[in-house]
Amino acid sequence: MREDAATRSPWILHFDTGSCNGCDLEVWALLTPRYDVERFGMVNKANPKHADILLITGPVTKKSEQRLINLYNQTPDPKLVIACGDCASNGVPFLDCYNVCMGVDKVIPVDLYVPGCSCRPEAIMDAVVKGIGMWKKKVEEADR
Amino acid sequence: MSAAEIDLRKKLERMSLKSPRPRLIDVIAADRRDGTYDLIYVFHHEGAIVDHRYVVNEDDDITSIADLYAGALCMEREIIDMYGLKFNGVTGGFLLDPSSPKNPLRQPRKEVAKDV
Amino acid sequence: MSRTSVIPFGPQHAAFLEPFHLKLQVEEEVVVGAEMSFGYNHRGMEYAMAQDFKRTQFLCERVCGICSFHHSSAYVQTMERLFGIEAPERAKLVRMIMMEAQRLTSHLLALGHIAETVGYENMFMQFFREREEVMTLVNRISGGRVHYSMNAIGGIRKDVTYEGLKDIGETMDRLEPRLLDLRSIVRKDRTLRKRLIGVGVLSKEAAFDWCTVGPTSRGSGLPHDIRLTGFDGYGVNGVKFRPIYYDEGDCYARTMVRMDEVIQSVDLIRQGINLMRDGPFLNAVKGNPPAADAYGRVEAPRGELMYWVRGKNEVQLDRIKLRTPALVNVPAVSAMIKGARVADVGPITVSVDPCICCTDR
Repeated sequence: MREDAATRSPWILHFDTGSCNGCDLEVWALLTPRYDVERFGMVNKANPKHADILLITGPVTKKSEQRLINLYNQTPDPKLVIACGDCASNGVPFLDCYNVCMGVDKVIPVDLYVPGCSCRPEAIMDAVVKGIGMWKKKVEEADR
Repeated sequence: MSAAEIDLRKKLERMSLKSPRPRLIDVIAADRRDGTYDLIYVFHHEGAIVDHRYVVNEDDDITSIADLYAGALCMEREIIDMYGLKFNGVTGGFLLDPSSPKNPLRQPRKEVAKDV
Repeated sequence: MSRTSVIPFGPQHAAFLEPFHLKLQVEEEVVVGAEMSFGYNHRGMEYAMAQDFKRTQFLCERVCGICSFHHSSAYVQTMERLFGIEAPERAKLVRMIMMEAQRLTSHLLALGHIAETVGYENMFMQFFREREEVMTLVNRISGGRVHYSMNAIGGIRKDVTYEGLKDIGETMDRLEPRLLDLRSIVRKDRTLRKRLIGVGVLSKEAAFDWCTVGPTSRGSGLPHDIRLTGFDGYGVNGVKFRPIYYDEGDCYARTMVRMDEVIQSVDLIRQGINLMRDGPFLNAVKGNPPAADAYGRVEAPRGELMYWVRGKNEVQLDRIKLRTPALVNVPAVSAMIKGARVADVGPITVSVDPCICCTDR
């Protein structure tokens, strides 16, 4: 019962850890009429304690590193982390920069990576839909 | 305050009183690679860029112009972070975290030929 | 005498798209002071951009995704000054058209964002629906939704075809009546007027003192616009243009400046297409940047964007400095916010269109 209800409406938390805003805008584009991710039951929530799926953009700067860890710890289990964009996946556009941790997976565990600089909304949507399947499994395991 | 700095301050004050009042665009610092730094005050005056260039030493106490232009405060704080220069009455910690590298934009010194 | 309490806003907050921290000192409902802290987005771009001047022309778009083309235009313009060459007319007009298209996306985002912050979800969706039209248009023209990568030092990398220009013109024809509809809604709507008029007033003197630029200063009655003097594409080729400004200095004035500029951008794009003539589009450069310095300025959606580059006869640059509009606009929020109520903090902050990735670099 719970897994059925929960997996029909995963809630999203979006956090920018130092990206150029390109991917953030595409995350916003997802919520608006053309892509409209709400038809999968997803709602963007600003509160980590309500969130199920974390959409992280940006290469994780030194200052936002600890904030990201806090957000991750505040999100209740089971949770899913999606790294949006090239810089969140491996930090590559900012290779020469001194103040970045080179990717979200250096700081918190990541389940899905979305390629592209900036990643296209279709790609994020694809990742999110895939993520629902993975998340369903996590919910089942947690309930067992 | 050294003589050069009093001169700097006077010139900037005179600049800020001009009519129409020049708009401060930016305060730029650049490493000259010999322990001194370029300090460039860029103004927009009557449709064009007017700049005042100064050379300061690493340990000079530079007078802040935040009383002339409130917007200059952030630019000065950024220079403190990036180069470790000192502005009177201004503290850093604008962009960098304690875990970040210190004074990241300082360049290595130029190789100076030594007397043998 | 009531007690002062402290309310933290951010770094992760519903009203902000990006992380920045606002510490409000509050007496009952009234804000008496604000302390801002930045740096959550500081990556060290000025260091990375000095490493290779050719790669920088693509890296500089990654400073900010909302005004990426303005960043690369400012950079290539500065480098053209440094090399002492001039871009062909056609390249300048293509840059102007793409810059105005990006201004459309950015302003529609800002307008939607402010509508969302005052709790007007319907309006937010409508602005974003029109914005998506422009996003798909620039995707068809350049191949990217966010980073266009069309600029090269000395011109543009690839010409825009005749069909492309026709496509731009047709999209603008489709878009204009809908934007005019939206403007009449913003003009008359009670929700927006009640939430925004008289809120977050920045006087003309304070706007000058904080060195504000762009819609923030034009909303306070200062008709600064770098399009008049800075970028080569405007003015010299017979493009008719007059800056839009409002005298009130409140959130509503800033919103109206953006709303009018959206209509103006459509007009400027049309003028650009009409002025377009066949011809060369790239004067390629050879060698490394000389040991001199140059300024370049562009009117980005948030205001004046300035680049300063000093070369040293090598592939590396000696120093590259960016003065992004957000660096001066966002600190001015602390002047607007005094005396406002806590519920108005969101709209006031959003009304300057804060772009933290520009502020922090």
